[in-house]
Amino acid sequence: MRTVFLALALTAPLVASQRDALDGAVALKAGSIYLVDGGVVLDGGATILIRDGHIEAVGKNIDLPADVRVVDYGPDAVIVPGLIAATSPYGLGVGSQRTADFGVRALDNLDLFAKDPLEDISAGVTAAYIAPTNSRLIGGQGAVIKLSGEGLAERLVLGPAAIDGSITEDARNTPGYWKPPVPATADIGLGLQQRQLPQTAMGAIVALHELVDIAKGGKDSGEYGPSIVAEARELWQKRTPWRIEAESAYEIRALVAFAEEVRLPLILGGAREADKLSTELAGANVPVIFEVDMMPNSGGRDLGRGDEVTWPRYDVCARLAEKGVNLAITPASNMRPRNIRYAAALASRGGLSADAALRAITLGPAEILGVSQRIGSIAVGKDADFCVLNGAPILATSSVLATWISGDEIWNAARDTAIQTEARAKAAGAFGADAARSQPRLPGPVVIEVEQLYLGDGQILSPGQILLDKGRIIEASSRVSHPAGANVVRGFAAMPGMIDSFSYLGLEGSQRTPDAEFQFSRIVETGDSTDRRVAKAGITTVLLSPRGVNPAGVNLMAYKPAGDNLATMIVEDPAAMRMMWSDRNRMESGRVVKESLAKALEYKKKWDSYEEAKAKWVPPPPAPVVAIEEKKDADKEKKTDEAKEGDKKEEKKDDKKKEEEGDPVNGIWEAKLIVPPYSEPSNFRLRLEHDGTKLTGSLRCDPLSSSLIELSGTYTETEKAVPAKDAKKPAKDAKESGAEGDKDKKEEEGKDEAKKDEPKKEEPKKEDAKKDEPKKDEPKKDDAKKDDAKKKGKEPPKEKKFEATGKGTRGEVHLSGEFKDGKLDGKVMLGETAVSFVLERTSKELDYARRPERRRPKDEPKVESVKGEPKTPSIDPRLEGLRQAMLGNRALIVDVDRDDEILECVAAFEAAGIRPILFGAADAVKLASKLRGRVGGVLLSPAVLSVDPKLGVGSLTNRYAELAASGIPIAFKSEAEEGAAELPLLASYAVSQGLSPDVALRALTSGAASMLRIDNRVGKLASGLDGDVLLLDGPPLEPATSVLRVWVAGKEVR
Amino acid sequence: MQFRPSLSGPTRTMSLLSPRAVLLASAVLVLPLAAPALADGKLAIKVGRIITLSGPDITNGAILIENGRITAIGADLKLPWDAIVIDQPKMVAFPGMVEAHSARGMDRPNENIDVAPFLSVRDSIDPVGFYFEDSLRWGITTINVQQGPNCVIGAQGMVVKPVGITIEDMLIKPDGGLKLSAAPKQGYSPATQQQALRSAFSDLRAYLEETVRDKQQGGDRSKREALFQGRDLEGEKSKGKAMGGNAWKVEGLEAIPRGEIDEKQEPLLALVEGKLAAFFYCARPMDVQRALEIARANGFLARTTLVCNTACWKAIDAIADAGVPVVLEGPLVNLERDPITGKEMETFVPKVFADKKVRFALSSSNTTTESLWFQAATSVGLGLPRDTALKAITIVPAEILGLQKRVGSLEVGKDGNVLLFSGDPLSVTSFVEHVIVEGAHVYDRSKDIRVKALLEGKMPPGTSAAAEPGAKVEPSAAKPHDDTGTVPLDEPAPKKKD
Repeated sequence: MRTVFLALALTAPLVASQRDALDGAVALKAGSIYLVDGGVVLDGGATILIRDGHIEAVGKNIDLPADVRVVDYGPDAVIVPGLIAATSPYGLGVGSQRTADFGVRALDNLDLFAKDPLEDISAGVTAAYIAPTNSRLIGGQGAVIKLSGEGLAERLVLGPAAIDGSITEDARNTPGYWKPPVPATADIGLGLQQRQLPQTAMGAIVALHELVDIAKGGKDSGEYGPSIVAEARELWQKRTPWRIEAESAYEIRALVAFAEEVRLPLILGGAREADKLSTELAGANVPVIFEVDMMPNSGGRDLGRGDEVTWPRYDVCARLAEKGVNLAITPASNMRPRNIRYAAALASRGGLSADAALRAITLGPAEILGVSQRIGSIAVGKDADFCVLNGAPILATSSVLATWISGDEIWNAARDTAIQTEARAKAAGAFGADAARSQPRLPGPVVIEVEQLYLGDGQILSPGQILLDKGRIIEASSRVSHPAGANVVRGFAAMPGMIDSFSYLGLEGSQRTPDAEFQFSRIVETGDSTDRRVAKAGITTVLLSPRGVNPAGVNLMAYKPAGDNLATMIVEDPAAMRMMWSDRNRMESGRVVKESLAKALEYKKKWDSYEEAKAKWVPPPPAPVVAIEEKKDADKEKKTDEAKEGDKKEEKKDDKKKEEEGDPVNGIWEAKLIVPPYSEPSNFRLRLEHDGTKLTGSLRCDPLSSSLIELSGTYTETEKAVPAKDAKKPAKDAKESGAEGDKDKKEEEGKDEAKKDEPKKEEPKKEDAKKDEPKKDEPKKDDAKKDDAKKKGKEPPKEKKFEATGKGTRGEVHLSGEFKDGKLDGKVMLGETAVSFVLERTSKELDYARRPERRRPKDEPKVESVKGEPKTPSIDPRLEGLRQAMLGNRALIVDVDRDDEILECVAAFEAAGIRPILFGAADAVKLASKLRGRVGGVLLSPAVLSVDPKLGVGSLTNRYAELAASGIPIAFKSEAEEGAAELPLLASYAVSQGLSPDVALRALTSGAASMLRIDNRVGKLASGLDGDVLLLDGPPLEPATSVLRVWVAGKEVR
Repeated sequence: MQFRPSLSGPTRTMSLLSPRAVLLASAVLVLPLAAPALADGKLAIKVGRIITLSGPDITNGAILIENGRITAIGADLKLPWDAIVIDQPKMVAFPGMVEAHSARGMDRPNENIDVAPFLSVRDSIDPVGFYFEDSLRWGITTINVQQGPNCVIGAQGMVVKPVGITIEDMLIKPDGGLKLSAAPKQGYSPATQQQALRSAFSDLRAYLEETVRDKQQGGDRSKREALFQGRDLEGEKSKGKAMGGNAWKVEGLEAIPRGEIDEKQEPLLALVEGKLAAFFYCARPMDVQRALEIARANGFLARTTLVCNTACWKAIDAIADAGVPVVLEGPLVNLERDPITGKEMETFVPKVFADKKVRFALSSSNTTTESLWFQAATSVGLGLPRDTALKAITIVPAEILGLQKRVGSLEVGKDGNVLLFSGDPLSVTSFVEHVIVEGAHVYDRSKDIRVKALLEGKMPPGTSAAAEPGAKVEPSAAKPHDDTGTVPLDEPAPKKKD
């Protein structure tokens, strides 16, 4: 349904909503600001103060007034003047009928009411030159406009800025001109079409000569139409420059010579071969607007193989700049201005400096077009038009973060892209909108550029870059892609977020020991300030353990305390199992663990045999199909062969089917119905299912609702309060009875297949059933059935009614009806509209029920197993952890200290196929050679150095270094809550005491991750892994190095 | 809904009719509706309610029309004994509706030449066109026929009534105003369109300056050209002097007799002098500013009416500043989409104009209907005040045409153009039952053949399927109507069906 909005606030079109309502001063901050004029770059943080759309101050340390609103783009952002496109499509239209028409104004082609051209504004273009056409000798008057602003007053920078024309081949295809004489007479006739100049380059120069003569006040031959004179003279008097396009060298030469001769203020456009005349151009002081011949947004162009074919050349600008020609660079006129930075970079081949290239898209065009007093550079008093980038301006990998026009931020990549994404999701439909709302607002892409990139697995890239997006690492390599609007951050070094392999962070002081089934993910909360401080110290992932251990073990969870979204915070739960080997009573040490291991082995065996059996088991063909076929077969058999009763299995199956299908309600009911206000019948499809009283289902009927209506209601079976005569009737007439209660009939039939062929009108059903009994071989069931049948036979028929309601798109739908004679008689109400219906059951199968079965993964145990399928053992939460550890899916941490215990413990686990991670393990160093290859790793108690009191200083050992040297994986643990923040210091200290920094780094990142088997999520800087990154100001694990910035799941922790 | 049964049946059946029969058929159709029998006598209309639009409604009143003009109106009128009385106590009388701008009713609406102010729609209007017949059905009694928008400066329009079979019968006002278009003509861009508009006036100026110069130098070029063009220099039309406009002046122009001004230029000069009205077509809001620029620069803003398409509402500020009236064409509701959010915004255009106090007339040139009355009703439904909506189809367009003293409301002294509705004019169940134009009863719905054909399934006599309502015309059933009695040879013999 559409709502009509009355546009009352007419003075504020849509654009205004994006604008800043504030009139006060705004301060823009960024890492560096390119003033362009004089090539000045303010580095290391600078500010621009703007007021009323103009620059009030710019500098590194400027005093900001009290009312200022500060917009800080961060220390890595770069602000350059708004880019000026010296060629643009905005004013282009059909040319005049005349070959030269000074009066056609590009401004007239500019639609001031059109929406802002965001595709160009989003690329940092703030102003553009507009030409009325590009296919006439003199097309008309060009102008310089801004890309956003209200009304002509705000948009217009200069108009007319130039007389726009061309002597290229396009312009030499002049239209014939016909002016009808009115009234046409026999003498005068209708007149003839007049040819116009020029057809050739020399013709063009001749025509230009004539036009300049007219403009200078010479005699008008009338050849160029009656109305050019006044305008041409006025423009000449104002010394408006003539911007004429010429491409090949001979055209340019002729044009430059002509301009010199008549003292024409010439701007050379196009200028494909201008380099061949660079000296002449510099001498004549003719500025050049160079159009870069590129079509990067399409495939290759085949221009031909001849010698005369001009290949695109990109070094023209460098040659022109060398000679001191004032230069502007634009993309070719058939490309959008948004490609201007790319064009400038491309035209830099041959040695044009980046500064010169930037000038050629900012101050260069501003000077050439005569608007440099207002735009083109960042200087006090000029318009506040800026392009905010995330890197150096002439660099393919930089992109635009924001665009300011006349003091307003017209485009902000992060903000506007988010709005668009949301809007697109909404447009995708109601479900899309819900999904968009429930999803966390992801930060935009982030690129981190560093001199040293520590990938975490020992590799160091120098320099290195990482691209984070959607919470993950998209790329980590020497140079990564820089998506548009990416926030680029620079620093010295970056490394993966560190892992605390054993921490209490998140317990908040709790001393309780949970039971074996407890999962920590149930108590996780998003990061608080403590969590964030730990993260800022570099610890992004911790293995959370309870303080105590119960004998059967506890589950530990790996998570990211500083995360802000539960879905991405939890790395794995359970990630590891912790057990206690050592006991105060040393006789008891390891007893419980050994028992558990023994039990776990048994338990595992059960599973193994199940899985083995399952692997061997060949499932029967899909059940539903079989069922239908069998049923049909059975029906056929019934009809054709009455003697075929022998196969009990078959019969039994049949019985079961009948029972199911005999249900009077379940299934699909369909009919064609006319639902007002529609006169055409439409499909009415009802799916019903009941469990005795409760009824669920769904209804599809387009006139009632455009979507499926979910129904819920009640199903009632009440005894029919009918006259006795009627009540008896069904008992006598088997057929009718069957019709009224399908169930009865089918059941009977199921037992006696021969019955169908018997005369229909005979004894009551009850007797029928009795007669059949002896034939059955299973007395128990038969008895039951007999009783059942008896009961049913005696029973009067039931009134089977249902009522259900559901919500459709047009409102609440109410259904009621009665099941009669295998048909469903009832009515449906939508508001006041009631339609009665009689539905036929088209299927008794409820197809939905089969669907989940088909989709179920193969290894998951089925609830209803197919016959012969191996039965799934039950899951024992106490032993499951051990089983997973045996399978190598989960880490197992065991507390054990003394050397003899360690050996026993490792042996016990080895027997079970587990390589445990030794926790504490004070004596592990002594046993290093014996443990190698047999343990998952060692989590040493915090002390780095150990000294044998008897031996003195000489025995000083770095236990981490010793273990690492023996090839035993190590990791660091804090065994603390917020104390986890000091873990990097521990590692750093270990390094200072002789541990290899590389090993230490790995022990904090990829080593810990693989030890804990969470290396599919964290521990390295690699594509697809979580976006946990630390930005450092020095090499990692140097005490002097601090962590500058931290990202967890792609989002910066602040 | 549109009452527009096709005049021509399937071509195959039409081929069976002789040209004479077709001619006869169309004559039969048109005559009952459009025969101009303007009454010289007295007509009294007694109705349950009179919506005068010039004052309060009158309950159970009467309107007396003498010699085509309203002579009395009120609740307790003494009706002259010799007046013919239409007594319809259940009906509602309403002034005949006024269409301020319509590019229909002509054989073709557009001329090929860019600047052609010397043309007149008089030569193009088709009096028996279906459009005029339909106008009566919808209660439109005054129409300004203007050339179509595919022009730079187009022909001169003409105000007519949809009654009569010659242009003279229909004529109300011969100078309906000049059509200009700010929207680019086919093959033009806005800039070249604008340049063509500017050139037209600068060419006029150049021509006038040249003429004056020639005259001052003792030449007689303008006179010779006038004689060459075959103009009557002595006639009534040629009297007076060329004066020039207010926006710019050509010195010495008053020395030129009017009759010597070039035919091609004369209407533009009249426009600049303020003697002609201008209807300036704008398709997009950007056209509005350019139209106003031209009108201002050449001094005819005061006599300009903008003919605006729906999207032009965005230029409302410029329109309000200029103080020009507007004819609203196109859909009443404007749709547009925000490029960032993708949100669709709807604007009900007449309300925008009403709120800015811009005088506007509704137009029947609309995508959904051809009825002014439906436009007004829809507008009220969308939130326009009833009074504003009713005036936008009566007195406002009458003012735009300078005919506010003749049409647009029911007042003593105005033309006897009265519609009798079966109920309130803005009710869906109401229809125009009778139309009285200048005192003549020209339309009666109960006798409307086409309405009958549509509602009762009876095709008008003479049309192809006249025999049976909805019957399929079999070749064999349709006997040749012409005298020769020949059957076309290419007609296959009807096959027998089992």
